[in-house]
Order: sequence, then structure tokens, then C-alpha cells
Amino acid sequence: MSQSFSLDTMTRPRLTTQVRAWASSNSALVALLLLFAFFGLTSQTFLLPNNIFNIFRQMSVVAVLGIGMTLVILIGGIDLSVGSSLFMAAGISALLLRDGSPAGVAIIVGLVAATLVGLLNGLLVEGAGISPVIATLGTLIGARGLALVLMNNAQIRVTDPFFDYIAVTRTPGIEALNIPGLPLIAIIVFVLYIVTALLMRHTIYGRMVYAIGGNQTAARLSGIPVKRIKILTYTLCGFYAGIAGMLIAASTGVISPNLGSGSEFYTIAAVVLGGTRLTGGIGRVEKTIIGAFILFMTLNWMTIRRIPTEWQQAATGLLVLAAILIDRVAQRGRAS
Amino acid sequence: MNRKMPFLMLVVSLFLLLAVGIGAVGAQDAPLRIGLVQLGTDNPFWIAQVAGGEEAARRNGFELIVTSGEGDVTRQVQAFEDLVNQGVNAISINPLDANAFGPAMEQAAAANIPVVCLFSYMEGCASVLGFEERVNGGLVAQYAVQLLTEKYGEPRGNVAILLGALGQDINTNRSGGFTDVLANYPNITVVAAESTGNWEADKAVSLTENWLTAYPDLDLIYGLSDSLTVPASDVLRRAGREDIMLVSYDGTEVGLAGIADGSLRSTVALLPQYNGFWNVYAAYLVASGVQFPSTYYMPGAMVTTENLAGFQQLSVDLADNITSFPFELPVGNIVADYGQRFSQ
Amino acid sequence: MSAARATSLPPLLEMRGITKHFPGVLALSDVDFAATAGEIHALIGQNGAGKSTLMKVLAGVYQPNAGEIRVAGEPVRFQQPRAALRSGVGVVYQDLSLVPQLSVADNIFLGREQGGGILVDQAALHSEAERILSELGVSGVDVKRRAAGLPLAQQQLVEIAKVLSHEPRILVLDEPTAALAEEETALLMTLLRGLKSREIAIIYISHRFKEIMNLCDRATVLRNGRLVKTVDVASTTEMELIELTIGERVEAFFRHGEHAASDAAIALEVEHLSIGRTVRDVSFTVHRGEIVGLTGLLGAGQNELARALFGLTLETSGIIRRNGKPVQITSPKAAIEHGIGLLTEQRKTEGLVLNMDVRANLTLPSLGFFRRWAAFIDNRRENRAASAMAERMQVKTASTHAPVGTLSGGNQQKVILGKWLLRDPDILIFISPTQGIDVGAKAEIYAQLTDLAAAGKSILVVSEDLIEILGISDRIMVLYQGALLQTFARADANEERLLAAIQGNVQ
Repeated sequence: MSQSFSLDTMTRPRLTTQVRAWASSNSALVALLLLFAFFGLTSQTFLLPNNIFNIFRQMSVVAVLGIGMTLVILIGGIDLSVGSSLFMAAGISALLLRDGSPAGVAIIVGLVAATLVGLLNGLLVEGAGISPVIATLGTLIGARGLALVLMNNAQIRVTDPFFDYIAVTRTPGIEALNIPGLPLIAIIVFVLYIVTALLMRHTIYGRMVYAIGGNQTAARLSGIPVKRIKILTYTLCGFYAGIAGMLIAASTGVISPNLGSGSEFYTIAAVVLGGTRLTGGIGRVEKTIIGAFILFMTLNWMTIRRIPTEWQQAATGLLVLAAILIDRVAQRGRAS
Repeated sequence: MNRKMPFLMLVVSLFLLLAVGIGAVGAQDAPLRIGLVQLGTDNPFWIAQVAGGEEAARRNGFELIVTSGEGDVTRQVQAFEDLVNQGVNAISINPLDANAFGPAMEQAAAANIPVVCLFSYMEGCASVLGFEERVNGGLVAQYAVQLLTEKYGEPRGNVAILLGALGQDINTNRSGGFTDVLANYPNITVVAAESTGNWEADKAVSLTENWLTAYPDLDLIYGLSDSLTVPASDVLRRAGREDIMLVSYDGTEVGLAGIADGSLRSTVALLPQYNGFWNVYAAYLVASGVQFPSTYYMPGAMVTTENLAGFQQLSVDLADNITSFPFELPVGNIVADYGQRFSQ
Repeated sequence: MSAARATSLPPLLEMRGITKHFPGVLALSDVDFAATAGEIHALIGQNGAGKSTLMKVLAGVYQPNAGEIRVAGEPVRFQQPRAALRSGVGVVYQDLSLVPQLSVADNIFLGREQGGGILVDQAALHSEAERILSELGVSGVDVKRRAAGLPLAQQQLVEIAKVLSHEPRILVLDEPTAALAEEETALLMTLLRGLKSREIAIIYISHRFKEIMNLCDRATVLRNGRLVKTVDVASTTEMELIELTIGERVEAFFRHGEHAASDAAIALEVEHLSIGRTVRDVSFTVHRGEIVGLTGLLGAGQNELARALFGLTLETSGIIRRNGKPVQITSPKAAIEHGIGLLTEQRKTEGLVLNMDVRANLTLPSLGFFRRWAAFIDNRRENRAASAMAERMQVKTASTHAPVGTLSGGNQQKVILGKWLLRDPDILIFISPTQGIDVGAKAEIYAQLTDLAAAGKSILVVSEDLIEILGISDRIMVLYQGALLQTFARADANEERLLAAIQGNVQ
């Protein structure tokens, strides 16, 4: 290499460089494709369309919780209470259905309840200045406790036809190819993702979220109402948890006192696997669904391959650690 | 803790009845006072336990002082110490955290107050009472064998188990008792046994779906709790795989409803009133100077499609006619022929 | 002595034909650089000229695409900074790399604590750290204190001590005085002159020409990634250095010119403003088209006053009027709505969202302008406005969709100014607008300020740099211990009078 190097040739990077750049900024997708290929090669059952559709449905709750969680993490917060908000929404809806309310009313009241939990989180964090971990840990305990009091600690069966419709309905399949229909729940999840991703890209709110997460001080000095946007984000997270609550009520059909407990772990794992940085400001909502798919695809494959259940939990933990490490390495690669 | 336990218990309880009869002849000046420390008061299961305990007091003419920790272990310890200070004759306690009771147990020992412990062992317990989860698991297995034999004419088939939280005693015992029995049937294979995390219903749904893909020739699923088995039944119904049989555990309302509509084949009922009766009755016996076994486990009752009607009658009677309920008999026997013996 | 050595001996450091490119940018092109033992060699250039890149190539942070490096005649190629340090190349970076939670001594010996095994011999560590500091002529630093608790200047000295404790033969200092006050700078100068006798080559990167004239033996000037010239400082004037750096003649560095008639409308009126004890009963007015300078010693209250006008301090009393009407400024949002903008010297922490692109940073205060369908951003209009502003500000970037963090400091500053120009407030408050930026960019910013005032904006400049304040202000206000001590008309102000005023002496 000598002086004959002109600036012009340098601005056009070689193809391999472009591929590498793409891979490093889409490491979640690359991981998904590699794992998918590996799982497909090691298990024929895994590739059955119905199995893939099952994974879509199985990840639905975590995927929907993951939308709100991504937003909260983007603003530099965290919401540990999503499992309890979900439970509250599902429990209240189930109670109303049991007492004869129409499905529409039950759904709206359930969603409002979870949204209020989210609003409370926002007020505790931004109004009272409590750290997000502590505040949402409080609502994690409180919301579940309150819902349990309302439910009198009992299990409640959900037999409403509309909820059953959500759980059962599929698009028409292609019988000739032995491909079943796509579950309605999966479609709901995809639509939620598309809508939210578009909103984050094209609304003033979305822009403000990234600005606050990237540099809260600079955002405030640019006139962004930081507190209001953060409270709104926690509230939205509660709302998405409410939707997840409706989905879980439909698919499990019975609301037990521990429903959704621990789901915050899987949700945060999906967000991290999707490449969203826990420090805020960096990440994409639509990548969280990739994280959720990686997680549930792996669990599904391990079940099919008869991996002992103890190992499955260990493997899930390793997966999340690996995601964080890969992300770190990719980040360093981009920096230099 | 083996399968002879129900029989042993029958013998023990008959012996105890006799002993109490003798004790009653001895007649006491003032009624004995027995303290009960509950976990809390806001769970139907706990409320029913107390009702059983109160019935034990009524039948045997002692005073029952009911206290509770309301879910808080320090309040439980406080309630326990209050009972010690009141000088009750015996205490029955279901500790939230057995580790927190060291000093309190020493106080009780110093005051010569015997303590009956429920579901947890603590240093200094006069007796430990609990459910015989492992035996119950075996009962489920026997019923599962019966179902598979009816299906194939011989005991064979593929079975999967929806486990609860790994490492918990009830998970180990409910599944262990089941697999111990199935081990005697070489043609019955447990193809999968997977944890649902912390007894999570949505995991039960996912596992069942995955099993339908991985093991299309599955015959039977055993769910360690109704909260797992009922969601699994929904999966089978949606997939049109109602040929797969479900056996369950817990005997909750939703589980019994599942048996009624045919989506479940059986569950194990734990009968809180029955359990509560013995929790208090045992303390009373110990206080009366009766030699009580140091561990005393109560079996649950198999509720199946066949005896569901009788069991439901039993549940009603437990709530409404508690005074005439034969608590002193082993529960398995009561449920087995309740329909014939008591409902007419 | 150094000049004689430079000719007789092979240089201690020789870099030849160094070329380094990043995607889309040629950062260094065929640069030669040499330094001899016992000299202080200045490395000069505007931001983005390639000074830091050249030093990072030397230190093994970057690998060059072409060229060779020789230390004492031996070819070397460092794969990482640690290797460079081992071979005697020590670099004191601009952004301090001390661990704030650790003590001074721990920082100096970070990664090579003395004493066997896991346990660190604290006593030995402390006495050794004290020895190193005292050899440097540094006194008054408690080596047991946490680094975070030290004043910035002392942190800088500790940083230098840390690098020197490795006994480098080549010492690189990247803008060591950027954060230092005058006295501290003097101390550092003495220290560096003392180091010359240790027969090490010191490479000194700075924007401050006065320092270079005083301290350095030779100077190498880079521009746009290319070598311009290496000169002997003794035979060069400051003006020549500046012209080599910016590549054109310095005509009018400060563009004077009367901006505002004193009878222009009053845009901002402050009455009896107090903030606790830091600002006491200050009243003043700013006219349309006027540049008002606000200065004082560090901590005299000028920063607090400026921040209060932007709603960043709430414990204020007094009245603020905009166009004659009293206004409540309770937050930056409110300030912006009242037509006030604030630019601070804290580019990275207060000015920009580094991982967002240039476009998003430019439009951040003005998102409302591009609103459509209630909550959406009209992307076409936004992109057009952002591109136009980037062009107007001459921001050097591959695209407005590049993360602003990838831009050089001067270009980042342009983005910050651009985002306020896009928002177009009537009043702009600048806090230390040219701190830490190179001479070329400085000139551009002064030109912008002049243009803004000519366009009828009111501008309040807070700065401790008296030359700057004198050069651009129509009026100068001096704060002393929180109170407004004196206001100078431009014609009445000079450096001596200002110097007296900031120290509390009224003429």
C-alpha cells in the first residue's frame, strides 16, 4: 500500500467487509439462523411446520412482555413486575368472566388494571425517585398479592368462548403440503411487533425514547419532557403485560396463583438476546422477538431431543450469558 | 414411607381411638387448651384446615386457640411465643420458615409444652404431620396402570410427566412414588418427565405441545398439579388428541371440574378439613399423654371418574355436616366407598 | 542541544509513511514523524487532522495500513497498548483513564501491584507512589485518597506519574493542559522541562500556541491527515504556526463590528436574580442583536446564572422578562418554549446523544416542527431540514444518518450549534463555546456568533477566556462572588481592566 491509495477507493468497502458489518450489527439474527440450522440438522421433528408454529405460540407471552420491556430498557429502566401485571390482568378478567361479564368488558378491565400497575411503576420511579429495580420489585409483590386477594387465592378456570377462539383459531393450512394454519396468537404477536416497531421509528415518542436512553441530560437540555416520557413508557409496559395476560389466560385456560411468575427473567433474557443494551438507548423492539424465538426454539429443541430437564435450565442460562458476550465482542469489533 | 403405610395408619388410628377412649375415662378437671399457629387466614385451604381443627376440639371437648402469622414469619414466631406464655397444653404449628423457630422451640421446651409440627421438621417436635405425597404418587400410578390395561388389554404404553419445581420435596415425592410403581411394568415407558419451572401453567402448555410433536404415540400424561394438568387438557382438546389420558394431583375445584367433563381421568384430593382435624387432634393426643408416632403422614384420596359423585358428596358433607364426618377413619377408605356408605 | 542531537544521532522515534484508513475516511496519509531524545516535540493540527490517530498508531491502539515505526533504530509493531508500554512508549490520554474508586497509589500501580501473592503490600505501595510523585516535583497529593476526590489538575498529574512510573523512553501527552488552570499549567511546564534531562522524547499535543512557543523545541503540523511541515519553534512565530495549522492566512480572527444599536428592543430582562449564595441580586438586560459577554473567576456564579436562565436551577428568586413580559422558566422545555437555547462546553454529556445519528441530534429540540398525524414525524421534511442544516454548518460526515459519536469534536460542536439554529430561538446562551476545540473551528464559531447577532438574535456568552470575551462582546459583564460587579462597553474594556475586575477591583 502506498500513496496511490485514493480516498475514492476507500469509501467503497469490499463485499466481505460489508457482510461482516451486517453480521456484527445483526448478531441476534445471525445467531438465530445458525442455531436454527443446527437444530434442523439434528432433529427432523424440529423442522415440522407445526412445530415451528408451536414455538411461535409458546413464545407469545414472553414476546409480548418483551415489547414493553424493550421500551423500558431503552429509557434506561427495568420492569421486574411484568409477570405480576400479567397475572393481575388475567386474574381480573377471569373473575369477571366467571361472574358473567361479556368478554369485551373483561378484557378492557384486565388491560386497564395492568396499565395502572405500569403507571404506578412510572410514578414510583420518576415521581418518587425510587430506583427501578426496587420500585418494580415492590409492584411485583404488591400486584400479585392484590390480585390473589381479589381471586381469594383460588384457581379460576377460563372457559369463555372468545378466549377459546383466540387459543384455537388458525389460518387455513395447506393440506397438500401437510402444513397446518398459523395460530391466531402468533399473528397477534407479529402484528403487535410490526405496529410497535413502526411507532418507535416514526413517532416523536419513539425518537424521544432513544434520546432519553442515549443521553438523558442532553435530551432534557433539548427540551424533551423526560419524566413524562419515562412514566408513559412504564405505563405502556404495563399495557403490553396486560395483553400478554389475555394471551396466557386464553392459552392456559386456568389462572393459578403463580401464573406468570418468573416470566420477567425470560423476558429480560429475550430482550438481551435481541441485542438491546441494558444501559439504555441502544436496541430495537423488533429484535426482541428474535431473542424470544431463540429462547423458545432452544427449549423446544431440547425437549424434542430429550435433554434432561435440569440441563435445559442450565442451557437457558448459558444462552443468555453467551448473548451478552457475543454482543460485547461484536461491539468491540465495531469500535476498532 | 412405603406402600404399606395406609394399612399401618389404619392400625395406628384404631389404636389411638382406643387410647383416647381410655384417656377420656380418666376425666380431667379443666379442658385442655391447644394452640394452632396457621400460615395465614386468607386461603380457602387454610380456612378449611381450621374448620377441621375446630371440629376436633368440639368432639373431644378441648379449647382450641387459633392464631396465624398472616404470611409473615416474625408474626408467626410472635404468635407462637404468645401461646407459650399463655401456658397452653400443646401447640400445633405449620411454620413458614422452620429455621426461624429455634429460640421459640426452646421456650416451648422450657415450659414443657409439646409441639406438633406440620409439613416441616423442627428440632424438638413431638411429632411431624404431613401428607403422604409419595404414597399418593403410587396410587396415581396404580390407576394409570389400570387405565392403560383397559386400553391395551395389558399394562403397556407411553407416559409423560409434567413435573413441578425441581428440588422441591413435593415434586420429588409425587413423581417418585409414581415412577417407583411404574418400574414394575416393563412395557410402560416414561418417555419424558420435564419441569414446568416453578409450577408454571404456560410451561405445561408448551411442554404438552412439544410432546405431541415429539411423541405422537403418547398414551397418558401425569401432571403433578391440577394447575398443570388442566392447561394440558386444553392443549389436547385443541389438537384433537383427547385419546391421550390425563391423571392429576391436588383435587382443586378446577381439577374436579375436569374429571366431571371428562378431560381428566383422576386427581388426588388432599381434604384440608381432614388434614386440619388431625393437625389439632394429634396435638391434643400428645397433650393428653398419648404415645403418638414421631411422624404421621396422611394419604390423599384418589378421585376418579368412577367415584367422583361420591367424592363431591363428601366435599359437601365436609363443609355442611362436619359434625358427623368420620374423621377418625383413614381417608382412602372414606373416599373409596363414600358414595355407597354415606350418601344414601 | 536538541537541535544538535537531532542531526548527529538517529532519532529515538521514527515513523515513516504512516497511512491509516477507517471505512470512508483516510485518517493518515503517508505521514513522516520523528522525535529525538531530550526534546519536547509539539504535534499540532486542527481536530481531525490526524494527531491523535498518529499517536494511537504509535501506541498500538490502531494498526497502520502502511508505514513503519522504528524505536532507537529498531523496527517495531505494537499489537496492543500494553506491548507499546513495555517497549517504552507511554501515552497520557486526553480523557483520563484513572479508576475513580481506587486510591492514587493503586491507580499508579494498577495491574502490577507490588508484594507477592494476592495481598498487596499497601505500605510499600504508598511509599513508592510518594517517591514517584515527589521525583516529579509534585507535592500535596495524598496517595491514599481516592482518585475521584482529587481536583482535575491533580488527577492529570497522577495520570502522568502513572505513565512515567513505567519509565518510558517516549512520552506522549495528548492535550494535557486542556483541563488545567494557569498555575497548574505552569507547574506542568516545569515538570516537563525537568523530564528533558532524563533523555526521553516528549511528544506534546496541544491547541495552545502560547504553550508550544514557550515549551517546545520542534513542532510538527498535520492537516487533513497529511504532514504539513516540521519546524524549529525558536525560528518560527506564533502567527506562522497558526497559519500552517489552518492552512490560510489569519485575517480577522475575531470579526468585530457593531451589532446592536443600544436602542434596539430589549429581548431579555433579568431583575434581582438570586440563586442561593452563588448568584446574588443580579439585574441586567440583553438587547436584540447584541452579544453580551459574562465573565468572572471560576465559581463567581456566571455558569449558575446562565443555567438558571435555561431552567436548570429551580432555587431562584427574581424576575425574568422576555420581550417585556414576566416568564416562569421552570425547565429547559419551558426555556425553549420562551425562545431560549443553551449550548455548553460539555458536548458529550450535555449536548449530544452520541449513538443517535446526526439528523436526530439536529432535530431533537425541534421535533414539534415536523409533527404530522398528531404523533408522527414527517421523515421527508425532517431529513431535508437536517441535511440543509448539516450543509449550512459544513458538518463533515459521510451522511446525516451516521451516529454523531463518530464525528470529530469540532464537527460535533457544529451539530450542537446547528440543532439550535434549526430550532431558531431568539436568545442563545453559550457557556465556554470554544473550550477544547481547535483554532480553525474556533474561528468558525466566532463567525457564526457574529452572523447570529447580525440576524437579530441576542447572545449571552459565558467564558473565562478574557481574550475571547474581549474579542466578540458588545458589552461585558463581570461577576464577582456572585454579584454583578461591573459592566463594560466594548470601547472601555481591555485585558488589564477585565483582569482587575474579575478579581474584585472596580475602577
